[in-house]
Amino acid sequence: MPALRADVRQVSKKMGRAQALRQVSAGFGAGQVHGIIGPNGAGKTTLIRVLAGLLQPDEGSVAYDENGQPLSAADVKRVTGYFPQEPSLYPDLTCREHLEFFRDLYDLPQAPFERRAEELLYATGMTPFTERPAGKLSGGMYKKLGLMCVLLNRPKLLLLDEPTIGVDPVSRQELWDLVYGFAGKEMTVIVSTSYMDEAGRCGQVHVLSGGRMLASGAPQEVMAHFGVTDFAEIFLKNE
Amino acid sequence: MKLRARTIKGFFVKEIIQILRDPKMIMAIFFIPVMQTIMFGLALTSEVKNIKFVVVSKPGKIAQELESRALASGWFTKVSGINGAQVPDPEELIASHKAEAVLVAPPEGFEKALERGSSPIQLLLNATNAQRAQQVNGYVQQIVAEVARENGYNLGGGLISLDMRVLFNHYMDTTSYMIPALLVMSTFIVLLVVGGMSLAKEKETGTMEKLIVSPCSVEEIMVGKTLPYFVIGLCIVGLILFIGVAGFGIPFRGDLWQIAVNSVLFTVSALACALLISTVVHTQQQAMMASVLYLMPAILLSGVFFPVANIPAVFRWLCYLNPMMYSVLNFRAIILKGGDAGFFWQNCLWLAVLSVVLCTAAYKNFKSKLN
Repeated sequence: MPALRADVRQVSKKMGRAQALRQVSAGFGAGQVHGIIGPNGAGKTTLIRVLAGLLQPDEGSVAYDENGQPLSAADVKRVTGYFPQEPSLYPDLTCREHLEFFRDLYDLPQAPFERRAEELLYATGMTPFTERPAGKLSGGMYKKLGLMCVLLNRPKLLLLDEPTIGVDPVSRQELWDLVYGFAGKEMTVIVSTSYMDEAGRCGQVHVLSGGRMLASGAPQEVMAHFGVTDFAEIFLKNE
Repeated sequence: MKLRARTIKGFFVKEIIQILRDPKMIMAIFFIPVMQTIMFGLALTSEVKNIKFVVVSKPGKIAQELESRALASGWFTKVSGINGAQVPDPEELIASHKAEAVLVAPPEGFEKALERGSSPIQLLLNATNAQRAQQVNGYVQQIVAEVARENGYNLGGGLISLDMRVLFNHYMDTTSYMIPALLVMSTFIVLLVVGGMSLAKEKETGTMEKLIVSPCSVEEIMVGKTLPYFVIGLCIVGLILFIGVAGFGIPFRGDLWQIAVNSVLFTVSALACALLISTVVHTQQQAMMASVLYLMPAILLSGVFFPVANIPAVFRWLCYLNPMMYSVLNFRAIILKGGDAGFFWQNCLWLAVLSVVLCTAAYKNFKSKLN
């Protein structure tokens, strides 16, 4: 079950009157953790939503392939997991009921579901809270539950839109550990973040500013390209 | 079109859990229709009652009989402190709101008036409510005609003696007539408001995005989200029907299968309307407002309160586009008459056509909005 590769080619997208993406091109290699970094308003969420198929680009295209074989939009939808900035859950459903609902959405057989649910609950440390309604979870736990619902389907492409925003440092660390724990040969992870310290954790970094892709590559290469020692400096220089 | 039973079951269970955990939803779904049925069933009556009635005449047998028959009918009430034989100005009784209807005999009495064959008997009515006044007029004419006939007077060309037979609703009981219509109205209101809001809620809270990017299809989202409300709609129909039959003693002359077919068709049409509304709104508040905007004319143009035949032709075509109208016609016919096959299938056909059109529009709109 190899991971998916995504290629964004010359994508432009207008959101209302604002030009959110301008001729953006980037390759998201299979099996890696990609970080889309940029300040607020850079176009990160728009790019993630285009990749998730929630938005259609005005210009350009997005192509997905698995082992060099192109995939149709329906196939991509089946193996893509999307974690929005606000991982909206149903506040009156418990963690277990959420997992069971997503089991039915993914049409997962019972035996693998139970195995995966147990594994996810253990990995997130949420086992004691399975019967707690989502509305009564802390911010970090709420995000973990959102991530569990996405990971239950074992997606080959995981899209995370600022997953660590608004959570405490411990929960941020736990969420990243979780992402790294599941990323690998079978899953490509694309994560957007405005926390520059998180860029260093990614295998590949894509720098987005004002809707333009400024650079892509390994974190060290990108920093060398801009002649900086910290990602924040890239944007401060650009200001 | 992809429809997996497992996914739809998942939606069904989720929706039911959410409804059961929300007391406000239970209140809106079950308590409000029950209250509406009981309240409207008791209060909304088009029968004219409690008419303050005075017979102004010199004492006589006919005057006596007219008054006692009127009071015995249950429609009229006696005005205390007024003696019909000593009323100097009958019009003043109406003007001062002491009486609503005053039957005035000529000075020589009712006997003389009836003997002459014509009827120079005056009926004074307070017609500030014209509809009520017309009904009161009918009641009084009927009473005068009956009393005259029983006393051997031939009214000739005067009052027309009608031999009236009331069919299907012998006591012209408004409750029996209203409950089948209230059943449609209440169920429609609940399905439109709650169903529409449930879909709008997914949009408002952002959970709809998760559903869109999940592997489930547009059809599964649509059916999964509406199926619980379809079942709830049928439960409400059953509940109101039970209240009508057990609580109000309305007759139930039709067959259950006819009720079932009509209920299924109109529940589907109501949910299609809810789905259509949900495609044009973004929040629950907007869904609620849009539902109210739709419901107001839909109820008034459904025949629940005003006969469709009374609506001017310019607006009557709107009634024919209203699924509520066909449901009301069918429920009234099934419950009160026992259902006439031709009439039943004709309404079912129109209801089915409207349901198909509404469902197709809702599906296309829903699909294009989600895509």
